[in-house]
Amino acid sequence: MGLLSLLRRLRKSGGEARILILGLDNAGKTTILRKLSDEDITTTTPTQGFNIKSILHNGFKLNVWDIGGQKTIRPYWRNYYENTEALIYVVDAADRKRVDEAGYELNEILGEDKLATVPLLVFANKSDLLQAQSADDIAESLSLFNIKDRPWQIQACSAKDGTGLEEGLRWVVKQVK
Amino acid sequence: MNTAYLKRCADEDRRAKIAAGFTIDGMNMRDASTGEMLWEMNSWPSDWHVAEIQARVPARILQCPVVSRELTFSSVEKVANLRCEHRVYLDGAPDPIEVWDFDFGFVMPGSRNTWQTTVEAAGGEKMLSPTEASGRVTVRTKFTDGDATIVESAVRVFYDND
Ligand SMILES: Nc1nc2c(ncn2[C@@H]2O[C@H](COP(=O)(O)OP(=O)(O)O)[C@@H](O)[C@H]2O)c(=O)[nH]1
Ligand SMILES: [Mg+2]
Repeated sequence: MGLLSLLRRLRKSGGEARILILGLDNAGKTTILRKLSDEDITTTTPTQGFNIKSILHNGFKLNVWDIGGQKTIRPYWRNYYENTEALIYVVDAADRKRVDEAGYELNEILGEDKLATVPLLVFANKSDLLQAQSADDIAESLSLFNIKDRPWQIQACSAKDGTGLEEGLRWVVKQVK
Repeated sequence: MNTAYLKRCADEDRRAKIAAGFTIDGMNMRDASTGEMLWEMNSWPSDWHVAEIQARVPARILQCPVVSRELTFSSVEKVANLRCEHRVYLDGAPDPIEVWDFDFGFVMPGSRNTWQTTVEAAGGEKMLSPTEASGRVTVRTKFTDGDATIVESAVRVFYDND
């Protein structure tokens, strides 16, 4: 099960959609994207820019953008907001020290005009690790329950073993009109 | 003073600067249904701008229902509006058998980026047997900023029986 088979089930033809994956560095964005195409995930290096996957099926083009999350790169995020259909925000649920930072950045993103009303999926990643917080705890820390201006969803997942990815993605694809 | 002329000079200056700092770092092809790497090239000859690169790909790639191609590129300069034109030709015929354009838009200065395309449609080369197709397929990739060409590359594909 991957992005490709999900797209086949979408039965869309024509048009183009853009999904943006954001989150702090080391959250697991690139690993998620690789895993969704069944690719080897042992060799991710920190992303120094963007990774794009464009999948063309039935004349429908799905573009997924994974953008580096280091502090120096974050000011550039806004260059990629235009025409976004769905936002996936990845949080390292096992890194308690950085949950506040993750929440701060998410809050900044949600305040952007260009992303107003764009559906939000939060992946509480690294659920395979013992110290990982639950999706509910992460939702609480990120104040997701206060979001009123868009559909949102939180999903615990592990990019390492694939748990939860399909469920999350299915929700996202459903939001893509 | 001719302002149109000055603007042209500035544009050409900027384009040359972008081109000087723009490199293709690697390319690979995978079986998109399994993620298996079928071919990769992670160092490019220094004369890749001018010369055609030859890729030897396992023949079974022609049996893969869906193949994805990935390109890694770096840019020293920021690019305001990067665009890529991707064409696959058979026998150097004027009409490509596969066309794929993509708007990247903004490229961060000092960035390294990857672009993977998965096209779910049988390409024209799939009709051919490996021996028939070998050496007859070329993949041309052109990067532009607005309408100015930054770099262009050509890869000729050979299918090796494994
Ligand atoms: N245990 C575990 N490690 C993960 C998981 N997802 C990513 N990682 C690791 O976290 C590190 C950062 O991952 P990466 O995808 O590069 O993060 P990015 O900076 O958000 O793109 C890498 O060492 C990954 O192997 C996960 O679900 N579980
Ligand atoms: Mg990354």
